[in-house]
Amino acid sequence: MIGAGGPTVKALDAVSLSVSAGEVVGIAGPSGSGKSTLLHLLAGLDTPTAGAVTIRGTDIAALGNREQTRFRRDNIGMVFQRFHLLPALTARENVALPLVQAGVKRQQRRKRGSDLLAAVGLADRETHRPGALSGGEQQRVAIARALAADPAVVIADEPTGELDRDTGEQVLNLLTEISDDRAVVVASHDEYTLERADRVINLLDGVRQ
Amino acid sequence: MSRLTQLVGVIGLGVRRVVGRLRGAAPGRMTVCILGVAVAVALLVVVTGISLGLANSTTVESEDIDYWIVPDEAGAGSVPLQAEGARLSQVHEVTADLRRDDRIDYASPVVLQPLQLRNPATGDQEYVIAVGVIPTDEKRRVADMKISSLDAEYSYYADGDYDGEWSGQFVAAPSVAERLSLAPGETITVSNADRSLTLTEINDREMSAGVGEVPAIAMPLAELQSLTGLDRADQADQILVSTTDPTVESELAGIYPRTDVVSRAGIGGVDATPTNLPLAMALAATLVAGGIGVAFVATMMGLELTAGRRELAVLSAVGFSGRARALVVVSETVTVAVLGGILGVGLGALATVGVNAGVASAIGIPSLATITPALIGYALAAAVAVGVCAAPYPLYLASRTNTLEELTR
Repeated sequence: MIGAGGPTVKALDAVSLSVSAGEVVGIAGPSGSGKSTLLHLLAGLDTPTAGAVTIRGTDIAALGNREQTRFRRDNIGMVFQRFHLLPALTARENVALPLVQAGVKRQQRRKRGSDLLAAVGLADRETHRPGALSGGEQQRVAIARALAADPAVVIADEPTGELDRDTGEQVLNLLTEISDDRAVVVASHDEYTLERADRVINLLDGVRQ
Repeated sequence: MSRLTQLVGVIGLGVRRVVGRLRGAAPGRMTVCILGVAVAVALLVVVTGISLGLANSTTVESEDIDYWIVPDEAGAGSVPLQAEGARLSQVHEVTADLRRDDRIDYASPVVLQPLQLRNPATGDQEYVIAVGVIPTDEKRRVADMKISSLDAEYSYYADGDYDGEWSGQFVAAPSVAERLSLAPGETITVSNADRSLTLTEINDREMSAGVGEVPAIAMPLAELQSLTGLDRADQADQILVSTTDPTVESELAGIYPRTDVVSRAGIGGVDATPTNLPLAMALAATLVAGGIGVAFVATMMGLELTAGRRELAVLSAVGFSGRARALVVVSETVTVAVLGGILGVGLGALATVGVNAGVASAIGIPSLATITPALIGYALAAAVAVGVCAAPYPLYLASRTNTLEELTR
């Protein structure tokens, strides 16, 4: 139920979903179907009015705001449609961003950032700022950032929405690769993107079809 | 992993974001913000520097600059009471040359010699410091002693030799007149000399030196030279030169070898500013500069944060707690203020040089404003305070950031 002071809208209704490590699950549906709301609930950015969101045995919906944030930091990586990199930081600093709050030492952050950038094929872009990177490169940096804390779940909201087909395919390959030992949930209305998922959940008006 | 590492990392993130923006990501607003703080801090440095100058300098109460030509072994710190050691010779001739310079208002050799005085009427005796100067009609003081009551005709040396009419005039400090039980017009004798002196005036204050007040008299130079044997080579301890033109200073340095030219307004070290004006000025400068700085930084950082709320939302999404995000905001605000402070200290130093140059050319005071390491530290501390005081407004805006709203906009 989403209200925020205005008329209350039932964004999701009785949606049940279970995702295992090593699995890529696609969330499909038209705009307004509840895809993003579902992802936000999974990420602990939003709280359901009823029900539970359990990750690694913890019901994050029952956690307080502070605990949710800490849980998100340690267990969930997020990839956004518009990348959402910090423009003043270099690619490596953006990747290592979650490790700052985790209290990881600077040298280790730098190494982790470099390793992850190398893993996504951007070893030569470590010191570049987002403004100097292409859209595809920015999204790869965002994926590397999502992996920084080695999370159990990676949530991607329209990860190819701002990219051309070729670049999008590279990003999808990357998301598939990282699913070896973690769960990946991808929301998209793009058929091509959803084809890469192990299974697809369809939503319409907040209801699973 | 530790809390300290976390704290340092979060603060460092704020610093890195500011530096990153300045280095090209979004320099405009941040640069304006830093410049605003810099101007405020520069204002603080200049006004506080002037306040320090007023509080410490002895130059500002007079429109004149007094230069003292002293033998270099005499040292700059001992001008009032240097009575022994190296002396300057042929001082009347040199002084006559100086007086022909239109830029010089008054010049006189100065001899400082101990004398034992005796009041023959009472038998009272007293050792005093006798200050020998060339008298003048103008209302002047040398070593705190008024000399205008001494006969400006300077009769004993009127023809350029020590054989003229002995005037015997002297001005006594109040303590000397009291101890010798003297009133104006009364006569005393000088021990070990066949000469008498007549009191023309009792000075209105004691002669002060670094160690305290000194019993002193002022008398014509040539007569004191004659009493102390300094007439043989026309010697004096120093030469006083009063002028309104600081360009004279460099020329004075070349008159005698191995001499220093010391600048100060009064030989007696009279407090230039007996009021709390410097303190008030410094306080006012701090309040004004602080107020301007805080208002500027709060406004500009508020605008910066409003434009970059999404970045705060991203920090939340990747796991930064509300407290950590607040620390990033404070760190950024203080960093901007400190960068502005550093730039402001540089600008303030330049402005101080400019102020001093302007004041020197306008009214002849060579150094009005001063800049010291303590002042630099004070300015930087003020900049940090500006950052801290400005932080609540961007913090308030940050607290109103809705993570979901910003990420999905």
